[in-house]
Amino acid sequence: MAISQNVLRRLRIHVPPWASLAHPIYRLEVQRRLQNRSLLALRLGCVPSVFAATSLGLIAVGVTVFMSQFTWAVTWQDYATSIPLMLGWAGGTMLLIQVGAGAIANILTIAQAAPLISGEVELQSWGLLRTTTLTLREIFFAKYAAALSQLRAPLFGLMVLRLASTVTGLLLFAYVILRDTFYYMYPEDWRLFWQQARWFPPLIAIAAALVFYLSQPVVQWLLSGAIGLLASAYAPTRGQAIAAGLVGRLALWVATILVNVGCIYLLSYAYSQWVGGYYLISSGLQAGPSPGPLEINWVTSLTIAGYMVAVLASQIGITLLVLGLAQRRTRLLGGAAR
Amino acid sequence: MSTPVPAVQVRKEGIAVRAPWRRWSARRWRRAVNMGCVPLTLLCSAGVSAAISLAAFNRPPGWVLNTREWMIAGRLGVSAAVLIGVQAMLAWGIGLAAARGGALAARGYGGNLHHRLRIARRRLVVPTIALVMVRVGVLGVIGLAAIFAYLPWGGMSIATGLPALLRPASGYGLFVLAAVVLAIPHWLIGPFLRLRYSVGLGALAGTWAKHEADRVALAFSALLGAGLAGVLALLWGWSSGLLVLLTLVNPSSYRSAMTLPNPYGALPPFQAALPFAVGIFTLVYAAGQLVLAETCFLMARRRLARRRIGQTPPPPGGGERGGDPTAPARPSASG
Repeated sequence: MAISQNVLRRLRIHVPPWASLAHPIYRLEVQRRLQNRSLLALRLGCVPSVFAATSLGLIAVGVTVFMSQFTWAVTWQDYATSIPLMLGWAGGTMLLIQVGAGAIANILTIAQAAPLISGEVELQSWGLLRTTTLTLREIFFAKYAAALSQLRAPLFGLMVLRLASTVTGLLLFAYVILRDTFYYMYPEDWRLFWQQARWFPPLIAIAAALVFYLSQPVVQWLLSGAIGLLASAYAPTRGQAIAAGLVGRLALWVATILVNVGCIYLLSYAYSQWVGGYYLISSGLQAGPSPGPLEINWVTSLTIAGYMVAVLASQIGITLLVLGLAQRRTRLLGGAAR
Repeated sequence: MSTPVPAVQVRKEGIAVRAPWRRWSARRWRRAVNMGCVPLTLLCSAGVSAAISLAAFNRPPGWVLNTREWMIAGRLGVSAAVLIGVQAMLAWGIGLAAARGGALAARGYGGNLHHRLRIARRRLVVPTIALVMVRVGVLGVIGLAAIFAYLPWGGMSIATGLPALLRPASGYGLFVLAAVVLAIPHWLIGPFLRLRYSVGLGALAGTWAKHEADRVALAFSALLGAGLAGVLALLWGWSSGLLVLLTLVNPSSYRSAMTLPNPYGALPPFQAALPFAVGIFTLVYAAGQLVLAETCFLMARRRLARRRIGQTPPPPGGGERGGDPTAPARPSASG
């Protein structure tokens, strides 16, 4: 606790008053959670477990690939195929661990956030809390910040894993792009690639993808906390709030997958039609001139970048919306509105 | 040593009745582990090796031409794999225990940190000796493989895999000799260096927290994080190094602007450089273990000494909870 406060102070990052130990609600919620031994064990054990699992997984991948590929390498081609294989397996292992640890972190976040308001309502202390001089907004966000602050350790572990898998993925990408794309380019294409700055649009897409990928643990952490808080504001008991929060998260997860699959399918269809020279206009499908390689490059890259940014923006928007709904609901729970 | 609570006292004073094994003190546990770990490790390693060897390499399948070679090579391989697995697990466990000991020792103002760390190391000397014995066992198995491969016992030598492994390095005897001279002593002394490094790293990580549980968690995170960083450094270093090497010496023949070597051409004897790489790696690794241990200790002592400035002295228990604003308060209402 003290470490992060000091780090934030040194980095001169402004911490809102409701997210510091000076705030009574924040302090109270933090102290309550310190007594929970299981939560403490989960909080403290998460980072070592993630590191240990990742190390073991990577060692297993390294030994297997080394024994099966590098030991028997006799030509350059053997090496050239073994490295992407090793990087791919390593990245896949890290991705799998991320999925497992991320699911646990999401469940933990909801389990932490769901009893925040419903617990006060159940114990009939919400009205008492509203008679204090603290505003509803302060109470609400102090509780939210306190619940999330307990899960910074899992978030740290997930972020480390994200960074590691990102570097591994970039290495794999460098390998593939170098040996499978650049090596097949004719000198004329190579010249145009640099002269016409054809490298720039893919760079935008890669940057957007990286921002999206690296921001996911933080965004999901905030979103899960918000969903837990919304469930907490609507459910009358802690048990119901946790169940509602988990169901809500699952429903949102499934809906997100379905919407994403649908959007990607539609975009791919429209893209293939456009590349093929067909335009969907009001009177029907009409054939037209096919786009050139420069246009394809720009449109593909900007579509990918735009999609990533749009998904990220929608995630942030949903989080803010859910928080707004939860705050609105808490106004109706009793006490004077401030 | 803890004394058992009399049954009458339990009934009168309502003391919780605990299972006998839970009544043991930490010192008693430590003594039991120290007494039992060497025979237990050796027996377990030998037992598992023997069981798997006998079960898996007892009756040769029909396609085997040389039964004796199949059985001996298989059993040696299984024994080596089991012993390497056991020593890896032991090294991991000892590292974690040492980091925990170092983290628990990092309290107060660091005046007697040196003695505390020495005690923490001494408590793990016996398991470390067990680890060294297992490593000696690994060397023994490799030695046996060499004897079977190079000395014609029973009329003919046995292909244990060792000659195939060493063949690319033939003609580079000096490199092999240097690697062996460097690697074998480190293989045997390495556990003690690792113990020292783990204790130091645990102590350094422990200075960032006050609660015991937090200190231990930080120590585990630091040790496992350092291990992960090492694994990632190997993975990324190996991949990027080979990528650069392949780009320099083996661009694809499809690129029309240059005359290039055949990508399917035979490799130069890079495997011959493996012993050289092993030797260098061993040197760097050992130096890192020595230097990092001392650096961690010095940093931990400095960080603990800094606590003295502007603070009240810690309570007799070491001040784990003294003045912490996040100490537990009242029972939970919401979780």
